[in-house]
Order: sequence, then C-alpha cells, then structure tokens
Amino acid sequence: MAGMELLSDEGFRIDGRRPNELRRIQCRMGVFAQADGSAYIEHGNTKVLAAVYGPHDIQGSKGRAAVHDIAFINCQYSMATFSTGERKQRPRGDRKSQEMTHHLKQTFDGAILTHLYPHSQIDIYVEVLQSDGGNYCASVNAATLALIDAGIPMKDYVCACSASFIDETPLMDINYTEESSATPQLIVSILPKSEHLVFVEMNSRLHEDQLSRVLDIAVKGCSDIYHILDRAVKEHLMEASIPLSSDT
Amino acid sequence: MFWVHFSGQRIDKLDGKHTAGKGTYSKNGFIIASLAGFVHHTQKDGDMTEIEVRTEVEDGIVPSVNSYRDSKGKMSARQKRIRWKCTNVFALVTPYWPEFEEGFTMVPISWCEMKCPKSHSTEFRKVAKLRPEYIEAPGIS
Repeated sequence: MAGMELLSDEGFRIDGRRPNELRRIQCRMGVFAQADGSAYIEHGNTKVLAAVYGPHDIQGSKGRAAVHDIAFINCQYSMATFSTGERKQRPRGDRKSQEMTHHLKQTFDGAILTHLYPHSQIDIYVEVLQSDGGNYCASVNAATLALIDAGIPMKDYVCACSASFIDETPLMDINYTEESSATPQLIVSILPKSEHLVFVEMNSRLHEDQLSRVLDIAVKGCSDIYHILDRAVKEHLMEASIPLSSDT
Repeated sequence: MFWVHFSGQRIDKLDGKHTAGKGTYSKNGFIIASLAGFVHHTQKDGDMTEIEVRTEVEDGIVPSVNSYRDSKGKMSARQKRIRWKCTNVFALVTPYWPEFEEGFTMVPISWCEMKCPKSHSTEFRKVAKLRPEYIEAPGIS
C-alpha cells in the first residue's frame, strides 16, 4: 500500500468523503417473514443481513452455559463466501467469526433487558453479504434493527461506528482500504441516549494523547447512525401499524 | 390517544402518579421505552396511571392463562401464533392446589411446570377444554 494517499492534501479520503463523514447508510426492517425479526443494512459497500428468533425455550447444549434467571443471547456471525474480493470458504468455526460472534454477544448482553426472559434464549444470526470494512459496526446496527423488529425489549438502540487516525486527522467510519493499511482502528458501540459505551475495541497502535479525539469522532459517528436508524424504525412502525392503530 | 416511542426514549417522570408497565423500564427517575411502539396510558387504582409501550408483536415468554391454542398445535409461547390458531377453544389453565380449603393459585415457573406457592408442590401446566360455568378468569365469556 506504499505511496497510497489515504487523505489527500485537500482533505478528502480515498472514497471522496471528508474525515467526519459516514458512508451512505440504507436499511430495511422486516425482510423475512419466517424470522421473528429481521433487518438489512448497507454501510456504503458493506452489506449485512440480520435475523432474530425468540425468545424461546433454551435449545440443545446451550442450556448448560445459560444462567437461568436471565435470557441467554445466542449469536452467530458468518460471512458469505462471496463477501470478499477473494472467494473463501469460511466454516462457522473460523477464528475471526468466532471472535466476532463473541463480541456481538457481549454487546447485546449489555443492551437487551435479559432479566425479563428467564429460562429462555434469543438467537441473533448475522450474515455479511458484502464486506468493505466496518463489519462489526454494520452487524451491530443490523442486529439492533432486527431486535426492534422482533419486539425484544432493550435499554436503548445499540449503534456502532469505527474510527481511525491518519495524518493527524481522526477519520469516521473507515472502509476496507483504510482499515487494512496499518492504521489504528477504534471500534465503539454505544447506547446513544445515555452515551454509555457498550463495547470498545482497538486494533493497532495509537498514541494515548490522540485517543480522546478518535473516541469522540467514533461516538459522533454512532449518534449520527442512531438518527438514521431511528428514522428508519419510525417509518417502519408507522407503515406496519396503520391498520392496528385505527381499531384501538 | 397515543404517541410513537422508541427504545431508550424517555416517556415520563416516575412520580407517584405514573408506573412503568410493559415495554418500559425505569431509570434515574424516568420511565423509558424498551420497545418501539405506541404508548398506552391505563388508569389504575386511585390516581395511578400505568404507562405501557405496545408493539404490533404481542408476546410473552411464559404462556399466560387463557391463551388459546389449537388442540393440534405445537406448544408455542408466541401469543401471535396462538391467536392465529384459535380454531378449537382450548385454554391454558391455572388450577388451584386443593390442599387447603380455599386453595392457592399455582404460579407458572417454566414453560411446562407450575408450583403451589404454599406447599411448593410442582405440577405440569394443563391445557383443558373448559365448561363455561367453571371459568372465573376475566376476558372469557
């Protein structure tokens, strides 16, 4: 990647965005009829599908790991073979997917009101259809929409955004090229109303002095995403509830 | 009259007049929505108003008493499914444990078991076709 200019002299990034701009986000809720809740989201060229099942009785060997006075959150993250530039078979046990699954579980354990559903399990399935950086962020945002679609009580939305630091400039919502060029990467997910951090991850090295600036731009990205998701939910809800609201 | 609310949104102050109902939780003296849906205000005893957020998906994890289901249908907690299948009128019932003269209403402890709060004896939850003269629950006629 030597010689590649990630931030031009004019202050534009490789895909033409300014440092504090998100990629275009498009989303749809209720894409599947069979799942209890589902959603599709696009962050620029990253495309993710999420489906939520439950709450239902605990199934299979998961029962042993579950605590019985709260709901057990079962996540599964997978990437389609055609999602990356090079076609690659990724079985479910893939280390990277396992780690991502674990991160998603941590995130939603902190946001779903699990104490309302003892003895039960909530499944979150996330499939990355096209990967262009920020897979975790798109997965979290898609899963949030799917959970809302399924009517599962949450403290708040969960919104995730990544950030980087290139040429003394903090960058919001980085894409694959920026992600893979040995730059620091900070991934954050927050509960936007209270601005509580649910999940923070840092890859590569970043000087401590810059951390707060990068964190600020990531949190700003999360709250921008929140407004987009909120609008989508509002539209979906009004659409879905018109016949219902008239008879109550 | 109701308003649209979303997860995490403050609905009202948690004062002596409002209580947090289904689809909400209380934190820092506020009632906050935990679902995306419509707000319903229900008058309770005295001056109390219960605030609920309802979605178009109604669900409960443990099937509640009187949730009807098809006699052939699979055991399912999702009330929306149960509601769709109300062909034969069978009800999930909560019997009294007859050990004491007046009886105690048994409490559901899981999907398929219930417990007497007094004697702590456990029984499987029952599905029965009821004769109307024995029904004491609200909402059934």
